[in-house]
Amino acid sequence: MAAATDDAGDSNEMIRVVSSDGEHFEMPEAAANLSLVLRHMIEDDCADAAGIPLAVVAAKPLAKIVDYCTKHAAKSSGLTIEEAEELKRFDAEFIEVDTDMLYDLLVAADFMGVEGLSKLAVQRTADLIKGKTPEQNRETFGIVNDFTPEEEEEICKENEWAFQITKPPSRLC
Amino acid sequence: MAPPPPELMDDVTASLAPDLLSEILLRLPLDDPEHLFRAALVCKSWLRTICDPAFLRRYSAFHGSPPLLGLLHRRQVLQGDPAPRLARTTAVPLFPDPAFRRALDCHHGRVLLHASDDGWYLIVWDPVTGEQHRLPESGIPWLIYSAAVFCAVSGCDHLDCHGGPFRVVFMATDDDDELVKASVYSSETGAWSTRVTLDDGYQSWEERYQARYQAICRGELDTPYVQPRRGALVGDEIYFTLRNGNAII
Repeated sequence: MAAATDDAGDSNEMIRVVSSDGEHFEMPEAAANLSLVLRHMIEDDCADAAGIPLAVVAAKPLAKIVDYCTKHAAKSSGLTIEEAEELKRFDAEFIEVDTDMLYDLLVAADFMGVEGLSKLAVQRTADLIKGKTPEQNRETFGIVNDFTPEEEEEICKENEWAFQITKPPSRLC
Repeated sequence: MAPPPPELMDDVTASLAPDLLSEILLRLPLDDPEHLFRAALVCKSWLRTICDPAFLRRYSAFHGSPPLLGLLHRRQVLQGDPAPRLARTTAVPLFPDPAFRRALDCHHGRVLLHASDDGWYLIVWDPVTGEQHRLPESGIPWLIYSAAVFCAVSGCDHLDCHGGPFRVVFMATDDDDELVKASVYSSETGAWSTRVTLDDGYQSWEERYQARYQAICRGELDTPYVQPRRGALVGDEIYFTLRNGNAII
């Protein structure tokens, strides 16, 4: 076990991880290091041939996270403007997922401590929320409305202006 | 038997850690405040997150500069007051005291207005909370004046000082003796400070009168005019401009 980490400085070393549903994945050590949890495990010599078990991350999101980390680790330092643009495009396409996957990525990135991905998923969720009515947001995220009709009416009444979706033109008074 | 569509089964955000939900809501744009209001009505847990004062502080800090809610416009007043103008730039309703005639200053989320019905008075208005604080004039019989409002808490970052103590500085050329005078109002004591008068170098009233008279004979104007412009707040100091010799106080 110790032999596997003797040459920890070797960036070509592959790190194995295991999803909660038992699937194995491999990624370069530099990619694994983008996850705070994996980095600590590697530093503590817990990365072995059997793979690091990730008890709360299923195979589907884990495959995406391995992709994300591999891409970002390969382009981590000394980016040219073109490379930075390309990475931005990659991120934009990467996060075009349905709400179920978005949820899985939010939770998994948070759990694994992948900061860049966490920010990306959080921003994507915020982008989905803005511009929607409360009802549309409930539909998008499958949220049950737990306000009583009276409570809802009261809040709406107090803040009527906020629920007119079209912006009123600037007005002189 | 077909399972129900998964997106209707799972509340995507209910099981998120509270700090993850607040991270998401934190990123709703600040320039259109209605986003946050609408999000608050989605469900109780979103409402709780958004109404948490700690969240609101972080929200202000995260977005840096506060949103521009509207423009208060005041043109020159020497030829009489034009109609006061308020142009909103967001959907947020803004209702200042309808008696307001002149917008004098704004700092730290507060607007200082000069209003008149039977007589003149000042209003410190918080456009975000809608709170209006009416205060009497300083007692200086003004010929021409400027004024400023600011938060009274030292070291405050002004992210969340709504409803906190404030000060108003009023500075005017006295209509009676034509001396420049200033006074400070404190919301904590609810009173104006003792007036201070700018020393213009004359030893006595007669001396000043003679000098003014001679200046008028020469076709000059010797009265120091407080320029009716906003002062500049630098650190804990406020600077106003005077027209006579363009001195800064």
